[in-house]
Amino acid sequence: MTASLLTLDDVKVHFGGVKAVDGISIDLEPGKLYGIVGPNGSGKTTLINAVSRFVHLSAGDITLDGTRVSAMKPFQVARHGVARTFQAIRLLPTLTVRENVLMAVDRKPDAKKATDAALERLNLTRIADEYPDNLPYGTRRRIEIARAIAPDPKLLMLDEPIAGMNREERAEIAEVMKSLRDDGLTQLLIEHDLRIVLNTCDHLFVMNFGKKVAEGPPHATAALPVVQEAYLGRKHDVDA
Amino acid sequence: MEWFSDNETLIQAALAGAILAYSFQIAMRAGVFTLAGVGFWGIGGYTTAYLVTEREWMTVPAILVGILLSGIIGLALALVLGRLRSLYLAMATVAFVLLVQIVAINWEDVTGGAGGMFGIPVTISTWQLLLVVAVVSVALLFFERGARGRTIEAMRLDEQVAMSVGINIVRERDLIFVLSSMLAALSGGIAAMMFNTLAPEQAGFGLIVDTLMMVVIGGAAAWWGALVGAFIVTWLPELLRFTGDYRGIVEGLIVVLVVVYAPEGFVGLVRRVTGFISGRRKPVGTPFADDTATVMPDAKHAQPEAALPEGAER
Repeated sequence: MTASLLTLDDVKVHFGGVKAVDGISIDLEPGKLYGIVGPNGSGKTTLINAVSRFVHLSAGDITLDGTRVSAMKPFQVARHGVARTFQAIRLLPTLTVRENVLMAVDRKPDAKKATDAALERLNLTRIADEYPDNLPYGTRRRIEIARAIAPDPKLLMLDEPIAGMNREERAEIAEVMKSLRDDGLTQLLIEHDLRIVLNTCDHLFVMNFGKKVAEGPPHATAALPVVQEAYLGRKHDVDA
Repeated sequence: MEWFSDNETLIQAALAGAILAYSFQIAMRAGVFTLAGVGFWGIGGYTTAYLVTEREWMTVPAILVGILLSGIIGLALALVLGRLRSLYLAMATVAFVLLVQIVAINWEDVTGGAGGMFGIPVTISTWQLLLVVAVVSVALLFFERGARGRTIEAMRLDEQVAMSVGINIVRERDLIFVLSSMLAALSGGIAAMMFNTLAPEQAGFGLIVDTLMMVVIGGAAAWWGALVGAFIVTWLPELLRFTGDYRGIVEGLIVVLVVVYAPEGFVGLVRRVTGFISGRRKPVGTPFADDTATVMPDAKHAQPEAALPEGAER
């Protein structure tokens, strides 16, 4: 058994009476691509916000590569090797594409080299001196991913990275995720597009109402009745 | 040269004002809406004037002591007010300015009380002031370029993104606050040693309004916006002298028109023109963090906040 890169132990994030994440325990092995699926409001984004330490844990513990990150501040978690993208595109419009990526590696001695490599990997070199607002939606999504991978993180969390993209762009991002996985980068992908998740991920977590309702190999897990229920509702709900 | 000697006082006022405008601008560019600069202007001014007139210090060390003192008080203030944002921070820092004024009025032995200090020797020439402004401008030019400039942009536009790439925004805000305090103290020290007198009412709400006008009219997206703004605001009363009793109304109207139709200030206008000519416009953005939505349409997360965002606990 490979040592876990990320371990979530009974993590709870409660907002007053709302149990956004309610006792999630998961282990991520290094170099694998993990998917999290679940209906809207099931707690997926809150879960990665908990790992980023953007929300306070009501209970539980998070460990990354043997170090407890649940006591860290968000910038410390990032410096410890956790990178992420956001559900809504969050680029800085007053910086060029290159500068948007460079800001993630400014503290590193080889910042320019890392930036160039990330831009190249996401096929952004040609437009590196453009401003993000002048670029198509799919391209801006790729800039976010370039910014996230530039610091050479241990864990990359992607929050719906292909939402709003056309089929070609989706396939392109899926290939990027696979190639990053092949290079040994551990990824945690939140995505509603089950086809992409099933075709790219090594392991699948299913969440509903803040709880993990299933996990396992993607195709087998997606076929479980409990997962079908989470997405489509129970039969008697429809009958009623 | 005749024009220079005719307008030397205005030039001095504009240059000294530019340093104070820099102190406001650098904080606002980092999303720190502090108005405490006017209080530090007073601290720098009184410290310098007291040390020179009462303790017979040389001007430069006296100004340096004022800057150092303001840096220390600025750090303490940053630690106390660090969790506040936008208007809440502005209100707290206005309270600090009023506090400095009250101390200036009541600490008569040092400050001269409500009447202020008179007969302060003029020991700084216009050329020396010009040199100081040039040095500060070049320092800011380098400060706003490169990694520090990107950090400042990230802090103003999206603190969560800044944190997600490892930027310690609490430490950066403290640093900016201290730097802003020290620049304001430099401006106050110079003003005290150029204009002969220093009174508590000078370091008050009027100076806050004037300095904000410099930043808004000049534009906050580049260091030179504050410099241009300082000259425009200083010269405006002269240029509008023909309006007689209506001057205040016309001045106010100009500010309203700039805020409504050119919120990016002079810097924004210049960039629009150069962008139109080159066909490639650089986004500018306004100095205030709460205006993120106007420059960042995708940022649904952007909302006015009274305190630090989630996860940025001190």
